[in-house]
Amino acid sequence: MRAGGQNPLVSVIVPGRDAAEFVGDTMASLARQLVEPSQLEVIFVDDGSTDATAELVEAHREMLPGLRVLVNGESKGVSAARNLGLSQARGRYLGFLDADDWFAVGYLQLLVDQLDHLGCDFVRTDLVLADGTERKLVHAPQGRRGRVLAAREGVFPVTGKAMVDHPSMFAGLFHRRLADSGLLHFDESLPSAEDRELIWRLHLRAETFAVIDAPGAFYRRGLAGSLTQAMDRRRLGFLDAFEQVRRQLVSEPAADALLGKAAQTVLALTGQHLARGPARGPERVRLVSGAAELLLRYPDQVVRAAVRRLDRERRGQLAAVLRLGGWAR
Amino acid sequence: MSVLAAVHSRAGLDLLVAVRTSGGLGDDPVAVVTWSQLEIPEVGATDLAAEVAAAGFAEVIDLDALLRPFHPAQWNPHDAELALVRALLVPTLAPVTELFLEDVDHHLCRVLTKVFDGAGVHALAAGLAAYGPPSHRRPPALQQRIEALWYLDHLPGVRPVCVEPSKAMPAPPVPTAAATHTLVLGSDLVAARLGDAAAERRAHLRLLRTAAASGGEVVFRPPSLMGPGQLRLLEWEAAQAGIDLDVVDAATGPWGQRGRPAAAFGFTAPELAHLHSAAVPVSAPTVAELLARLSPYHHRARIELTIIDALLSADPPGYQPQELQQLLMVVSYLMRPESLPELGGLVESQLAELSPRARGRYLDQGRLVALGLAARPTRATRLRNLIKPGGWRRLKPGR
Repeated sequence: MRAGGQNPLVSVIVPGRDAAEFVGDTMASLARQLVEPSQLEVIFVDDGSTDATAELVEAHREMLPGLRVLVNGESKGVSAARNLGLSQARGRYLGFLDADDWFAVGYLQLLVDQLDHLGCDFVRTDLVLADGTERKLVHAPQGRRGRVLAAREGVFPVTGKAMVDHPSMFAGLFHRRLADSGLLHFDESLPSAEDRELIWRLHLRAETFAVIDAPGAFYRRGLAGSLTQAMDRRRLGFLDAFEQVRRQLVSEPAADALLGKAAQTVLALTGQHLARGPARGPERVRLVSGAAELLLRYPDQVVRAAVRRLDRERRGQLAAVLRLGGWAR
Repeated sequence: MSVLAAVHSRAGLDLLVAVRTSGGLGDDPVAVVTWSQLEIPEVGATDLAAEVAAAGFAEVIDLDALLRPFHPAQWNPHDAELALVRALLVPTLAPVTELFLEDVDHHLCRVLTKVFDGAGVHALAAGLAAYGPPSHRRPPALQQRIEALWYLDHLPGVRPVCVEPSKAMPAPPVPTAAATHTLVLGSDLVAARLGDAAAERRAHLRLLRTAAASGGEVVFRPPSLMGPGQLRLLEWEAAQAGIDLDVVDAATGPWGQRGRPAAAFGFTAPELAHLHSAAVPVSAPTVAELLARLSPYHHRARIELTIIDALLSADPPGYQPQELQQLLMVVSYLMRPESLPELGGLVESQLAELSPRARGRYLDQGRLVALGLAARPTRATRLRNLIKPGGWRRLKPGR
């Protein structure tokens, strides 16, 4: 912490469970973020680890003077872990990082400088998918860089990729006023895709944001426990997330356009999961029926407009959903 | 006229500096390309580019910085871009006429030989692999461009078999001031394709346990490519095993500013050879095991493992450079005969001088036969070989 008991400049919340294999890299990257490292508060929330994760994090106290370790005796989920960390965070700016990911050297300092300069509610960046030495840059879908934009612009365009389709909370930094108004609270009822729901909420309720040209947030791919590898109910969590999104949107003045964007995303994600998942079996049945059930709660004309925008390949992937909802013709 | 060098390790930089000190770089300005071999360069503790700058070279080109957020291992410019890359990479230098490349068969060095396709190539090899064949099949056009191999003289009296001329540079001497610690020298087993990160950690932990059991303070020099996460985990696991590790700072050189150790353990670190020559008790307990299961025969780690094993298991004990030279020549030829065709006749005579023990321990009979260096086994011999592992029962499964 800074001398005189002042609050830190940045708090980063790191939830982790059984991450001993990787957490050392994550902590090493956090030690190289700010010009003045003592201005960084790292809140590690150990979510019921059964390995040496917490002890390894503790071993970084010397290089991370602002380290705090909170321990959940049993796992309560990543959203609850992040919310716990958030409730303890004292920084002016808040960020998130999972225990197997990392930042480029000086990434947070760059974001702090931009937030100070631009004065907006939050900044977001491109991210990098890393698998061994293979890396893939994922561009934040906003062409205007370094400019303050209305947060709601992140929902548009309805017909193409928008910032709400770039749901990585760790590739960004957030002013603490967003947390104070409850906008950074993760929905603990969601088994997955909690960041999608939160990103929608942020872009709907916050005032301003900017996209910064700083591709320094690295996501480690291909881990056995990650969602892309999981074949369990967490895969279907996006349906619950988009039900929450729908509830927020129905009372909006331009509800149809916003719902159209959400419906299009539901169709796209469902198509991706159907294409990647097993060709038959109960998981597929649950996905098809769950997606149809969710979309039936959207206005019919909104879903039909979204279906009309599907290309031939996606239509083929979604044939069962479209038949079940009566949108096939 | 200018020189472009490329290094990716501290040992490579030390060798380059030695080459410069010997006058091998001439008087032309030298630019040095650096990159990291770490899987996550962003968390690496050492800054090789800064060390090169501190060593006083004219220009430093930090590929990690130029290519980020992409990993340098991904860099593979298209042929149509090579002229552009050449112009952008060293804009301040006159045409590059000489390349000095650490590990000339590394993907990035191959790229540099394409970018500067008119330059002569000097291979820099800091480790024990220098004494063996290329780690990859080398295109003849590249082999023709290699003007010299510069290596650290880890095995006095032994010369690399692959490139002529080869030029020996003095290796860092073993400290003379005696100390009481046991030195454990880590090796990059992942980079040598001897396992994944977890296997590398387990192997080092096993070594540390053995070293600790021998008594005394354990000083550990981690493998240069072990990331901070894996190192922390290894330190923690060692602590759980009751081993209090003193980890050497890589920036302090190969001996970590400690005196001459009382004993040393390791896998393939070249310093093991120096310590062995200096009569320090050296042990590499898993090397024979690694060597026995090494596959394919041309595995890049074979030369290093063979050298360490041959040094430590010599019977009778003692350093016999001529025998080692013969062994390395034969093993190298068996590994990459296409790279060393001129050795064929010589290998035949060297082979005859190898002891039966060395033939059995280091050579592959099938390969010898395939290369016409041994007679095809008779039917009776093949039967005997079949019987040995499983007995008669194996031949008559119905019984």
